[in-house]
Amino acid sequence: MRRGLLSWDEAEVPAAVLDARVEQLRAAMAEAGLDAMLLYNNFPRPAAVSWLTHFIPYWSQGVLVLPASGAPEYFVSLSKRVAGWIDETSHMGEIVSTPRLGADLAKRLEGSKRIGVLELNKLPGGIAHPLLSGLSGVELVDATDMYRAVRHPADATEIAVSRKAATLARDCLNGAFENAAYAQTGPLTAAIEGPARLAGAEEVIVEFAADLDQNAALRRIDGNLDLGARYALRVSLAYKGHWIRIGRTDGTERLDDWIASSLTAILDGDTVPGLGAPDVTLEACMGSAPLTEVQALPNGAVGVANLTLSVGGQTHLVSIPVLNEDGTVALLI
Amino acid sequence: MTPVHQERRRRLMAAMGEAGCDAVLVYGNAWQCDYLRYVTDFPPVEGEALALFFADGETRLFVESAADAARARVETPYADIVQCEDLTETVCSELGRLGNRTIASAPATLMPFGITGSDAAKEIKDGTSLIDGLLLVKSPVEIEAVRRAAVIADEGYKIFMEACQVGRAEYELVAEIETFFREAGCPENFMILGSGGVEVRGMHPPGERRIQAGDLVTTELTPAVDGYYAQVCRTLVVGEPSKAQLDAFDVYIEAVEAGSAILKAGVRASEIAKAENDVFRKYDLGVYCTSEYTRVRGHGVGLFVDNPPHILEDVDTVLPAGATLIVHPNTYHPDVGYMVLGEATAVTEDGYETFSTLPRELLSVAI
Repeated sequence: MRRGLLSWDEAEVPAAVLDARVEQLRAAMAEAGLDAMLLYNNFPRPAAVSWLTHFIPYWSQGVLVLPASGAPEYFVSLSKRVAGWIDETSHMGEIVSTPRLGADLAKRLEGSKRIGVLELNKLPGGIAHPLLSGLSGVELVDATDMYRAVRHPADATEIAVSRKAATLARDCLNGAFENAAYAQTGPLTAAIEGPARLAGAEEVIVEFAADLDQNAALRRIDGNLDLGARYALRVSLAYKGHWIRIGRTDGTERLDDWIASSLTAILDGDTVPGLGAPDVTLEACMGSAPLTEVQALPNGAVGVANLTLSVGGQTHLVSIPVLNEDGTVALLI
Repeated sequence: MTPVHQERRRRLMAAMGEAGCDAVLVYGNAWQCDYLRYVTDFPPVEGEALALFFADGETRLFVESAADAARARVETPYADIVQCEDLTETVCSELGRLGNRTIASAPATLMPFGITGSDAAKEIKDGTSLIDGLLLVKSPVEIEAVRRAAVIADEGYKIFMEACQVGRAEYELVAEIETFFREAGCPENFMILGSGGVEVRGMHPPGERRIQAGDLVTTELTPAVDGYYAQVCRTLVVGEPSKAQLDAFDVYIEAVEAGSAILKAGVRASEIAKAENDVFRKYDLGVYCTSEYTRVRGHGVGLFVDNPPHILEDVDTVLPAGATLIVHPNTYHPDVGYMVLGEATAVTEDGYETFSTLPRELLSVAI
């Protein structure tokens, strides 16, 4: 559950920026002939609603209604006692607390003819079915592609806050290793996560391939595992709704700086002396999930490059925050 | 496979046999994964997953990302891991291939519309109550996991008290506790809190407000061990408690004790809620037991933070031995503000066992 700092600092994410994003989406809605758009969120899927309103849920679920005109309205299954907190941490219009999300959305949308839904197939059945049965003569259409088309390029605010998140993650990761060595996953996780949360991180997830010579799968460890002679770790950090990942391999010669400097060549598929064929997974924020695996980073998108590399016969895992600047994927920080 | 999961699978297969069910389809995400975890032992860390579990124990786990697939292959080696770009489409295809087998799905409320609205799911039964029954009654091994989570919750609360000093921000208190939990190998915690005085009407995620002398600080801490959550709710005063604060808190102590006193196998959730609320009514505070001021008077804990049954006067669920829950009369008090009290408890045939060793009193930290 989300329990880091959830607050809205208008100096970091100005209301005007959020308004501009809403208008950008609204223009696409008009072109698609939509009377309204629905965007679902819960804490594993906060990204679309937070991109438009800055709201980040810690619990429960809700649906943002973006009408053709007027402020976005948020229907949420949290009690109305939480409405004040939602209002303080976000930029939206009316907040409707209801345990009957689908039925009350249907009432709100009465008279609409065509409604777009981000990721319609993923909308929980407990919302979708009462919504459909409460609406008559309304066409519900999947608006995922439309949303994706307006989601990128990132604006200056998104890039700046993502850089702050990346810097925070990098500094906490580096700080954990200053004058300290670790034998187990728990203390190392704590050494990274504690300072990150004290610095205002909204979420921190530290995953390990605790013995890289045995297995390269990154896992959040339940319990405490001994760290092998070579291990990899990846820090996923959210700050004000902006997610990045930084990962590296330890217990051997540190190669992540060298790998980072070769990033463009690696992503372009060029041969890099000393590197075996790399396995590259790119992630970017495409919809409601903070990071989704993509074939290619959209132009102007902030994202993460996760690399599995073979160097001298040994596996190295590295994750690097990146930015696609006019077709060239560069380091974010 | 862990012993607790072996046992869950045995119980699931027996329940499916009784229900005449060939397979169950379960969904889970990083917010609520109790159904999925019961069936597969796989907890989504960021995203979501679906699983098909067959009567013979065969398990197919559907995940979206390569990272989740790699993790699942390590954590659930007994399952067939299917990585797919579109979860709902892939699962619908799979359901189509299963022909006329009897399939139940759960939970109905969260199952994606891409499945529930598809032709492939037309003959699928709602299996929510089947798995709810399994989630409600914990085996001794499961209760032991809740007990271990309760121990770490108590330890975490002590860290919280130490951190709760004048001038510290709410989110800094949480950072201290999370650091402690991670060091102890506990990966997950649900936590909200409140700080201030009579103006505070509830709890929320931590904000930037700084602790002041005389504050009431409330929190519910809910760490998980092996996926099982245990919750502890306590209220503390920064500095010496006032007479008004102590008097107000006596109502909460009396309410927890009234609810707990009737707790045993066979009692209804509604009866516990009524016992708690009657204490508030006795002091003309009945209005503070309504939804205007409070959500529930307790709830189940287990593989989810907020399992059924909700302890409310209109919930008639009969509690069996082995149910684990928290009785918490958390609500607003007009004289002093929002107060909380309660701890994880297991229902037994003739009473209950509580796992917390924290005193049921208004705590305080020196300034």
